[in-house]
Amino acid sequence: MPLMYIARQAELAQKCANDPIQNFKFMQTHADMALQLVDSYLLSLDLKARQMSLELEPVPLSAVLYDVAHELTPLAKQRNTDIELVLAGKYGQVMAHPDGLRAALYGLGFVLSEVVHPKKFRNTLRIAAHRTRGGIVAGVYMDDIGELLRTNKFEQTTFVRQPFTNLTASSGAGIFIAETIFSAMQSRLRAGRFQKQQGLAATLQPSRQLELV
Amino acid sequence: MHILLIEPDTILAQLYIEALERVGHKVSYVRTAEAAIHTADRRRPDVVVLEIQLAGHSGVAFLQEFRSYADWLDIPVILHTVVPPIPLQRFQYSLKEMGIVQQLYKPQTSLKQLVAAVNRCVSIQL
Amino acid sequence: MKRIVTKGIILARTNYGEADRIITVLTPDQGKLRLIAKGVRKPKSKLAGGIELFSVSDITFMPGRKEIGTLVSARLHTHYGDIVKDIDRTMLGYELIKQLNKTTEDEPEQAYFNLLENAFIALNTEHIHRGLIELWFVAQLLKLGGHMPNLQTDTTGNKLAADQMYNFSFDDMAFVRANSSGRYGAAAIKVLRLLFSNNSPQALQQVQGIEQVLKQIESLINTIQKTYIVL
Repeated sequence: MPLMYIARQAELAQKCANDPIQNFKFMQTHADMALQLVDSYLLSLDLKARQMSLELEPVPLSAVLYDVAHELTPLAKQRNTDIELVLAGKYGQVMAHPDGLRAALYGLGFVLSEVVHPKKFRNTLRIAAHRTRGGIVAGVYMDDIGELLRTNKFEQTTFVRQPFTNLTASSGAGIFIAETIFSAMQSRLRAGRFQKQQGLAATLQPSRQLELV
Repeated sequence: MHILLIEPDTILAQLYIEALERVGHKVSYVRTAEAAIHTADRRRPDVVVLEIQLAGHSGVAFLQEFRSYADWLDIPVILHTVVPPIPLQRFQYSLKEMGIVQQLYKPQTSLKQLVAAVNRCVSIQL
Repeated sequence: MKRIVTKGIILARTNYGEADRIITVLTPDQGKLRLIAKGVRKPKSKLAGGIELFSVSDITFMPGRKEIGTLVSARLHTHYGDIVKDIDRTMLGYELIKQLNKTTEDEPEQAYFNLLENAFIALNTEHIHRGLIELWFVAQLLKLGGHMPNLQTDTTGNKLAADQMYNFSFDDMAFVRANSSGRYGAAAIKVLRLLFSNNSPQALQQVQGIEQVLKQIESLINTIQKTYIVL
């Protein structure tokens, strides 16, 4: 998608001299997005093909969530979606692969920001973490999509064209990225709920390392 | 001419709308198959530009419904889709039967080509 | 007036007048019916088409004096909803419905209804290969239409041998003995026999290596189809 955005915007921009800075900004944003997604997708294919796992280390979860929210904001804006970052409670570090975690949450946010909501024109996407008995759940959530979510079918996203038909017209590559990466981090992508919203999330284990103050 | 654009991606849609409006067409934009039927009902389009991969009901379901109305049978539909040409190749007969006048593969179709395809439909009708 | 209750699969729909619909329905015991469904389109459709496609419904109708009967009631019996979640399967399902509609006369046997229903079941099952479903359907349609190739003996009347290579004669609808340049061997003939047998796609999917052999025989079946099934 981002590559198509860039190509078509560049085409339009050639015919119109208005606000070149805006045009270049648009192209840069989407070029960066495309690079990130392609990288993540290639990584996921590699992980899947070779059944690899990712090495885990203590990662500051709140910082990762903040980065992801920041990266998704320009795209979300263009899709009439507001981004909210919610950290319910105090978090230290979680055991994860830092780049993998970022890529997984970004992929989820990318797909869910495209949700075609049957009744709303403007969506709110929440990137959130909260503590449970099982660990710390990090995920991406939205209003009123509970019925539209399919559970436990993420492994099909590489084989089925349009696996989340009720939710989005996207091919679901972002879901495939998230599912594969979380799997390689000894976790599992699931449908979940948080503060009356539904979404996709994974449970991460808190780091037992002592933090240096 | 009045174009009905059925496109789930809002960013792409804005680019297509701008390209089409620049050459003088009026565009009604929807994201879903159901909204497309209601919009066509309110104002009959001259041409439909359709993405087959939609959220909810697919473009196939839309075409089934759209073509079941006698007064819409002659409206040309351009398939402008992210679904690659090779998987669609085996369904050529069905697509022709559903009144698809042209198939465009989105990643390889420039705005110029899209506008040209729409203009061709329009000139055939005049 | 006489009312008949049966099951049906919708093959086609046309809107008629302000509020009516004419539907073509395939049934197991009443053949292919054209029925008018009165008053179903107020207001204009909410895309119920997405549900009617790939479903078996319980229907009650009154036969008409001429060709068109009147639909009294229709209730969804089974909806193969997973098909529409995949564009490729949706397109294939639609294609199969079209093929069957075009190739059946007004009084098709129950076997056609069973064929279409089994196709829906297979399409609705994720692990069944789409290519297998498509070739199986065409083979079954050819068989029902009396256009089954000879899969037992070659053009000279000799039994087909496991260690022999063959080419296919479309005029004779049988295999011709060839030397090493023949296209079809034992594996291809075995898979053809399976496709034309009474086995379901689910059963065929269990056959090891079937997907590789399908590629070999795809063009053969498609050519027979183009010869005998006019679309």
